[in-house]
This record gives sequence, C-alpha cells and structure tokens, in this order.
Amino acid sequence: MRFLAVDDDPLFLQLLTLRLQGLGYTDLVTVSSGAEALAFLSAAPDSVDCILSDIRMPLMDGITLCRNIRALPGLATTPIVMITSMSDRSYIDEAFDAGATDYITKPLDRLELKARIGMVVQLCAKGRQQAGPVSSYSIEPMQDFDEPILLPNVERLISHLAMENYLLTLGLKRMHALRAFAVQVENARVFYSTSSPATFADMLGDVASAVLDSLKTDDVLFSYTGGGVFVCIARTDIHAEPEDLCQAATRNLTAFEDLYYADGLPLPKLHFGATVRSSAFTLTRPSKLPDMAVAAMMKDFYKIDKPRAKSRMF
Amino acid sequence: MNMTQRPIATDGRPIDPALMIVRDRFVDSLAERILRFENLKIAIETGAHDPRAVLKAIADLAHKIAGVAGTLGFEDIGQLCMTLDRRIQNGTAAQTPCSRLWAEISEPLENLLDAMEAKLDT
Repeated sequence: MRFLAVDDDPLFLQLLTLRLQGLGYTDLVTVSSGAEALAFLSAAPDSVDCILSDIRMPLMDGITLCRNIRALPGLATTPIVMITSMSDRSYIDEAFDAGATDYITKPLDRLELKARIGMVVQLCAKGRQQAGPVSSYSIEPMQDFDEPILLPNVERLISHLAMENYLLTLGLKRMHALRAFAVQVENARVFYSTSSPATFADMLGDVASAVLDSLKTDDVLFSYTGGGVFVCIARTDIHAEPEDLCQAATRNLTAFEDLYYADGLPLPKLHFGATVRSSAFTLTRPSKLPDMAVAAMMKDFYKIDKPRAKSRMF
Repeated sequence: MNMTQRPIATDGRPIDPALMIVRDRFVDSLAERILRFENLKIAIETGAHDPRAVLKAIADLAHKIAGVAGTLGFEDIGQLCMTLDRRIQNGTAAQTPCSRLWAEISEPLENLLDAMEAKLDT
C-alpha cells in the first residue's frame, strides 16, 4: 500500500508516519499543503493507493483538495480518508459530498487507524480486481452485475462504501432527518450483457447525472449499489413525487439519446422508488436506510411487473 | 528520564515508546507556541489587528495542538485546545461580537497556557 499524507503540521505527519509504520505500512509520501499534493498527484497519479488528508489547512482546505483530486485523471476512485479533529465534525458532510471515502478523527487512535486503513486495503484490493486497461473506471473483465462498481467522477456520486461510512457518522437525531429513495435502471441488464464494461459504466454515470439534476437540490448523496440500482440520501425534503422525478430524469437523459442510438443501445429506462425515512419509534441502524429504500423500490416494482422483478432480470 | 520506565500520559495510560521522538519535539515546540498565543493576546488586546482574524489564528493554533497532544500523552492540553477551538468556531458561526467572544475565551486560553507552561517546568 502506498500512501500520500497531507497535513500542514509536521509533527502530525511524523506521528502519522510512525503510526502507519507500526501497522506495517512504510510506503508513505508526506506533503504539507493541498497545492503540493495536487502537484505530486498530477505528476504521478498512479503513485499512491490511498490519500490521507487533514481537513483544516491554510490556503486550500482538505475539502477543496478532495474535490480537486477527484477531478484529476485517474484519481476518481482512489480512496481518500479525511483526518479531522472532533471539533471539525461539521465538515464531515462536506467531505463526503466532495468525494471522501472515509474519515479518521484526531487525536489518532491506533485501533481506529488500523480498522480504517484495513478497510481501505480491502477497498484497494477490490479496486485492483475491477481495474481495467480502458479507463480509470472501466471494469474489465466484467464483474458481477449485482456488485457495486466504482463509477466515473460525478459530483455527489459517492461509492457505496463511502455512503455507508457517512451514515455511520450520524447520530440518531440527524439520522431521522434523512430521506432515502432508490432508482432502478430497468434495462441495466441489457447494457451489461451487450455493451463493453466502459459503456456500462458510462451509462450509469449518465443516469447518476440525470437523476441528480432532476432533484433540484445539492443536499443529497447518491451511490450505485449494483444490479442497476442507485440509492439517494437526501438531507432535505424532496418536494416531488417519484413519478415526477422519473419524468424529469428521463427528460435529462434524452439529451444523450442520439449517442445511445448510434451505439445501437436503448435509452436507460428508470424507475423511482418511494421515499423512506427511519422512524423515531423504531431503532434502525443508520446503514440500513439504503436497504429500506431499495426494499421500498422493489416492492413498488413487483406491483408493476411481477415476473421480471422476481429475479431482477431485465 | 529513567529509560527503563514506560512514559505515562496525563490520563495515566502508558505512552507508546515509538512515539517518544515526536513527544520530545512537541515539548520542545511548547515554548514557541506559548509565545505565539501571547503575541495573539497582545494583538487582540491592543486592537492592532482585525480581531476576527486574530481569533481565527488562536483557533487554528489550538486546533493544530489538539491534533497531536492527545496521542502524545497530553490529554489535558488536547482537551483544553479542543474546547478553545470549538468555542471560537461556534462563536464565529453565531456571529458573536469579537469583544464578547474574546471575553468568553480568555479564561480557557489562560488555562491552556498554564497547562502548557506546566509541561515546560517538568
């Protein structure tokens, strides 16, 4: 594992270096600013497997850095773990919005660091299995249809793991303020079966952009869970019915109609599930909210087309 | 220090010996950091600088210390820094007038400086 650590405090960088060495990770480059990190990554985007960045830094803060890293070629899916003090928890939402994968709190706890880095190592191993030669997010060879794949850089589209991590950061009060709904690409299996992995990933990226644009709010996080299904977590009310959102997103997708037809592909066909939220009277684990949204969407979908929905084959 | 003895943190837990090199650097940096806090105090009390910018500088300095102090066995300093940082952040977010915010943080800042100085004396 190769790490890049970004922090303006040399003492903290030394501390982090020693902690990582203690866990057996010795391949670490340290820089003291966002500008240095971007220069390093622009010159050698393949040189690191994981980026660890402080949030509060002068000139370029960690959130801006995260957003800039995600815009660099080849770094759309590299795990970024934000390092933040407990007093910075208000920035955590912004960090996930900007594309962070997870966060670690200062002061550094050895066990927490070990657990978080262990998760990143697993993610990297999975990413290497998915990584293909065509592009940074291509999935050669084609992986299982039902697995969440890492998608191209779309703002507010985060990995399934990052969404789980985000939900785990929430207390009960904030958890109850969230709404969630799922979106199914009904004909995703057609793309999966007949097109290249890169085209499949591009289609999912188009769908993500179209859905996010239809929501008319930035206060959402969106994640692909596999099987042609996305989950959206909203921190404010979505003042629209699923059918209206579906129509708006489909209208957005028609902008790409000619490109799809030129490739002999249909337009992605969308189905929006009902919005769900955790009840104040039931103890719902935060990480269960996406499952609840998918269950609500599937329940609705069965009513529309029982035989197909049963096997999720399209 | 007796090298056979494992160093103890302010909360009574033993400190990882591998971190002693950073701990020593941290202690060495305390005098300079105390001086920076004192200069910021003078800056705000004399009105020589924009008080909002000075308060932010105090919060940033406290934040930086809080990031390492706890791990190095100085939990008391870490907690005091975190309190100071949080009060300034919250006060700034709530648009508390600088004079009032300064009055509110003066005592926690003094407590922090006392704790830092105590580490210099040991």
